[in-house]
Amino acid sequence: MIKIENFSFKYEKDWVLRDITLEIKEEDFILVAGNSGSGKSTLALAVSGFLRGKGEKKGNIFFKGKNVDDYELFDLAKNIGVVQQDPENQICTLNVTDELSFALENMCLDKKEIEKRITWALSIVGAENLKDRDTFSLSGGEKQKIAIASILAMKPEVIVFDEPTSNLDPKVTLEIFDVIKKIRKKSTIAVIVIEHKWEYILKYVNKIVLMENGRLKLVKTLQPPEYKKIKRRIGKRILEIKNLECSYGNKKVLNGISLEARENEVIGIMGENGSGKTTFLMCLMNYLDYSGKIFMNGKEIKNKKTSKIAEDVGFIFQNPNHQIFESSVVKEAEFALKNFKKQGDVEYLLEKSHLKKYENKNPFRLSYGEKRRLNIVSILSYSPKIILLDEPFIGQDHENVKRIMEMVLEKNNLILMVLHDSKIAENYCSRILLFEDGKIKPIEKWNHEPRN
Amino acid sequence: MNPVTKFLVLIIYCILLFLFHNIFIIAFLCFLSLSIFWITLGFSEFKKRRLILTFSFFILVINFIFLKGNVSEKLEFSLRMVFRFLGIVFSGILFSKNDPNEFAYSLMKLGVSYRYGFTLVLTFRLVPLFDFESNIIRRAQRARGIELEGVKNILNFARYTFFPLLYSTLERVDSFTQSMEGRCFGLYKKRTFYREINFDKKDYLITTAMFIILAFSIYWRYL
Repeated sequence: MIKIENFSFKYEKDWVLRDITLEIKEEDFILVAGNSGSGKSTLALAVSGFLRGKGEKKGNIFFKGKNVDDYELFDLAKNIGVVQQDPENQICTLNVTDELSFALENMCLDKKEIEKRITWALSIVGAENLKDRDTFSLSGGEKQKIAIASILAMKPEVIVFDEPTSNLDPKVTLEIFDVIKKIRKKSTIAVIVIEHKWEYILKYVNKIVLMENGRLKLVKTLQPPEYKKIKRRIGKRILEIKNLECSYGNKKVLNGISLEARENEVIGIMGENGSGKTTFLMCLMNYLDYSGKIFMNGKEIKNKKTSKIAEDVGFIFQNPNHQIFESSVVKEAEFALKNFKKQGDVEYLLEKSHLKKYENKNPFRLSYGEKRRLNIVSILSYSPKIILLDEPFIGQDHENVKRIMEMVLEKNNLILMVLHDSKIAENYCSRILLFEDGKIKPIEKWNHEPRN
Repeated sequence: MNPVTKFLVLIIYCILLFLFHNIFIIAFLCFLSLSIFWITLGFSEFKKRRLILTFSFFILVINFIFLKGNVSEKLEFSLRMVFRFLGIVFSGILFSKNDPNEFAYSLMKLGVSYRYGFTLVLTFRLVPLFDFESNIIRRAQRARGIELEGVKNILNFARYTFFPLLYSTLERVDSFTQSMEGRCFGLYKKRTFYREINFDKKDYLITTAMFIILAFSIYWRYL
């Protein structure tokens, strides 16, 4: 159905895709793996015709014998649907039914047909109960299901999923992959999944494509990532929390959290989305009103300004874009350091994070992974005693995870990080706090592996 | 009632508020808006807007203190201002309780090109995200040691909030474009609508009535 023949592509200087050849047949279930920057997402854009008029190309991509660039974009879109990484950026109406009918209305289908297709798409993704909801009230997983259903309703011949679960917790990730498997089973739609967390679907696909440096390789299986364990000596107590409670309106988000943590511990905070993990970190920075007591180095933080607390506590937010303020990489790296009027070795950190060569580049033009490393440099520069990381590994490949962990573990500090990946947690965390309904739940048995 | 009708009522209501000079008519209009607010949304919603009521009291007092003229003139002028203020604010809140989405879809149903209609929908979609993101960015600033308070920091505030916000919005808009084009937005000149929105007899009746009231008021006031 789709034939890629010796296809190469570059935006500016470097080739992002190099000499790619691949055939996608009806009923194919293809996994595309590879590090960030290996060309995975660009491949998806190329197949779905979104590279027209951009960059420089060599070779051809055919859909049903006709070059994809010769199609009207809409004709192609009807047949090749793309589900993006973040459903928040894909859902463009305010109501589930509007969202599901959006494409169908554009295709000028009549009401009866639209009704039929919406019902069908909702039944496949298992979201019949969401039909009348407002889109803003949906959880992350529900949003992704609706985004998938809205593509599905077009009844395309291929759907490309571009890292569809990067913002989701393990439980919801499983649900989304179940939906994808179901689509493959219950329809004739070919499925291409681009994914870091491939261990969830490896068994079910019939082709595995590994992208490396813009080149494509068909492989039989994939090797799970290996992380190096880093041992650190636990030191003195630097954080103590007594009976922490926090509410949004009438809803209690944190319900009595108590904790003691020592220097050089790496504490993983896990649990479903909405269980209070981020709120917990926010309280430690005094961003929110809370009751209970928080002591850092023996002193209560309740009446301190956040910017004062931040001298001892480095905080990394989920989205790298929200925490870049300066116009060049080196200025950004020194930003916090200068604000706190402290001494630090920015040069060394830039070297270590492989960002030295971009020193004078605008930080907003870095790749997603590079931006994340720059965020880390920015807080490590002034050596805070406590480091709080809120889902730092979203959309990051294994190499970048290793680099980031090596960097943050280099100095003596206490690390608390919210994360979903149990493999990373197992390797780097000295202990895990499992959050459930605003409480820490004791862990009996460590079991977060994907079920079969 | 169709949201477009409601919008029309709102506009004409506001025109009337400023058209008349007679304090009793303005008071009546203001009272009308407040009572509809009370009836449809209940007293608890009123209580939430205490700040507006306090604020309008301040307008009254400040006007009264700083205006020149005799007491009754001053009082009348200040009251007129307060009534107009309350009338506009509360009718505005009342209107904003509508589903904004429905408003946009109604406009499209009435013949506004769907390209403009969806610009409106997308705006409604982006505004809360904008709010959410600028909140995070401000928190991130504090985490890097900048506490932006006071007038002297306005420049820095703009600089350190504007660019991150601009960048993430541009990225978002890019994704939205891909998402909409990927779902055949702009394929044909017209599109169908699944959602039922009717402009029925009642709407025509109210619209006509409102225009008659407006025409009559203008006639009464000026001719």
